[in-house]
Amino acid sequence: MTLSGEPAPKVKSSVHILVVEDDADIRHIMVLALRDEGYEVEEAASGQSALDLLDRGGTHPEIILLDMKMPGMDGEQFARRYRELYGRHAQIILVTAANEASVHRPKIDADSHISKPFDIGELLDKVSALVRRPQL
Amino acid sequence: MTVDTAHLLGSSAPPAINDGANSHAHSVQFYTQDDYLLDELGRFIGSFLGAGDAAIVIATPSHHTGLVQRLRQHGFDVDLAISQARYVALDAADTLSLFMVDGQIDPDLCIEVLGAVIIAARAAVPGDHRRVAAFGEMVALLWAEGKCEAALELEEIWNRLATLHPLQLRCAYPLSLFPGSADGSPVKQICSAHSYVIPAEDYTAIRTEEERLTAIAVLQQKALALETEIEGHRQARGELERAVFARDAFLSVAAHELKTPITGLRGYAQLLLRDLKAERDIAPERLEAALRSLDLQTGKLARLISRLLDSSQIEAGKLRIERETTDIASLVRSVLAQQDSADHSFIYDGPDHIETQVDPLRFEQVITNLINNAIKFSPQGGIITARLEQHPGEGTRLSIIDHGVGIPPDHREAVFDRFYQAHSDYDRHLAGMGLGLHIAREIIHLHGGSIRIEQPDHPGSCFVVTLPPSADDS
Repeated sequence: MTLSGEPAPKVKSSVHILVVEDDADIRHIMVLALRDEGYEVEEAASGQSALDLLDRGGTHPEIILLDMKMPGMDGEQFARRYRELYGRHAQIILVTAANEASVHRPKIDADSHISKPFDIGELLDKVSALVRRPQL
Repeated sequence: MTVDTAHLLGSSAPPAINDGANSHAHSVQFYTQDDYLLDELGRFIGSFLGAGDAAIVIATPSHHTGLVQRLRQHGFDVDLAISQARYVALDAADTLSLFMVDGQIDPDLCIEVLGAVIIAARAAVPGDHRRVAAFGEMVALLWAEGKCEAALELEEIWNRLATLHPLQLRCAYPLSLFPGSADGSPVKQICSAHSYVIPAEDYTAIRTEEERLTAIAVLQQKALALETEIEGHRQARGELERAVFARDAFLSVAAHELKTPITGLRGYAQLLLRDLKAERDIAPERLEAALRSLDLQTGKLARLISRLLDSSQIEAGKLRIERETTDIASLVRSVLAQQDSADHSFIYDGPDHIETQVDPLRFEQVITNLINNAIKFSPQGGIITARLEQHPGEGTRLSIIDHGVGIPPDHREAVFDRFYQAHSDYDRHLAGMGLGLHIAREIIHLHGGSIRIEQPDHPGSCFVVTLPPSADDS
């Protein structure tokens, strides 16, 4: 995914991703890695601020990377609310420990998941797999 | 050898006395009436003497007399057996005195004395299949004197002797030795030292109302003993289940606490490696963020590991403190000065100097844990006050007051328990490893002090540490 034979970044620039993660370092890493690949990335530090961001309009993300354990509205509550408001517009990738992913994933109808501490290459592979397999 | 053993045994001998099937049986007889004991004993000893085997009887004088009477009634020549050394009659109190030293059993001496008696009795029996029956009441004498542990020790010595010699052992306890033992535990202890128990009655031959009541009393004792045992197991199991649950919850939280910094470290490392691999210039701000994270998160990991080690030292009882004269006012101010939370302001309220005897490193750890706790549980920010007071003769009092979410009243004792997380029920994010307050309390206890939670006159928490007065307080 990282070498020169890649699809040109301008293809990815049409893909919007929202990163919802309370830990500033982890959020920053995901944002940088995705931007390096040419994705359009926005970020939120909690479920509520992610909803506020979506509510303000702008380009709706195709993919949401979602942490589970966050203060206030956690990942599960956010995903439920998101599905109520926007249905399956965005595909959701859970970013959480493997043993929790198996518990949460069916409950919130997530499309994919990745375990912490994640490998950046694997994270990008999961994202691009969903980009190639669009919803709708 | 002219005695009819079938007659001696009687036509309705209870199965319990047919202990010849097991050459090492050790039975215990409970009784309320001497007649009942002596009738049973007459059959037991008589069956051995009648078969040409040996018998050792270590009893009280009145039981000796009663037993000999019964043996004679059955037509047995006791004097002949005594002259052949097959019937050995010893006084229980005299025999006991041979191996009691300062009120305690001397086990080696005991085995020597009783072993010599057994060997002599066996030698008196001709042939290869020598059997020896032994009846003893020394245990009952010890129990009657209140030396219950010595009685149980003697029971075990008899058990050891039975592994060295082909012995059929029986001892007897009057039920009057166990008045009102509601939990049945003494009876249970005695029963457990024996291979089987002969109840106070032969149930197949209960004749009178009194015998029936006695039988019921024995069964009740056994039932109570079992209930006590079952309740003990139930409690132990409950405690074990709670401990396992707490440990599992702790492991889950600890794994999360450790994974978060590791995720950051790994992520930055991979970001930079990807830049190198793609031969991209590394942006200075990216390098700085990575190094800051490396610094911060490794510090956090080191603290987490220290806490785990402290906690395991506490559990092992190995945590030690080294007191020295310390200005704890300066200590509190220096901890406050180290805090860099942008959302909180820190106030010190107290005298410039208070000197007292504490372990400065450990006490600093307590203050740090309490301040960290206050920061964590006031996520909206606000004022955190450290109030230090000292009153003559009353020791030193440190209060850490925050304006956070507070501790629900029903959690105020338990928050100091190991692995406990007051807020894990309703906000997992606030949960830590449940170690900080536990470690703080243990350190304060090692200083002879106490820690508790009070409700301030505003929302939030107030943790109060009280240290006892030390010699150089003034």
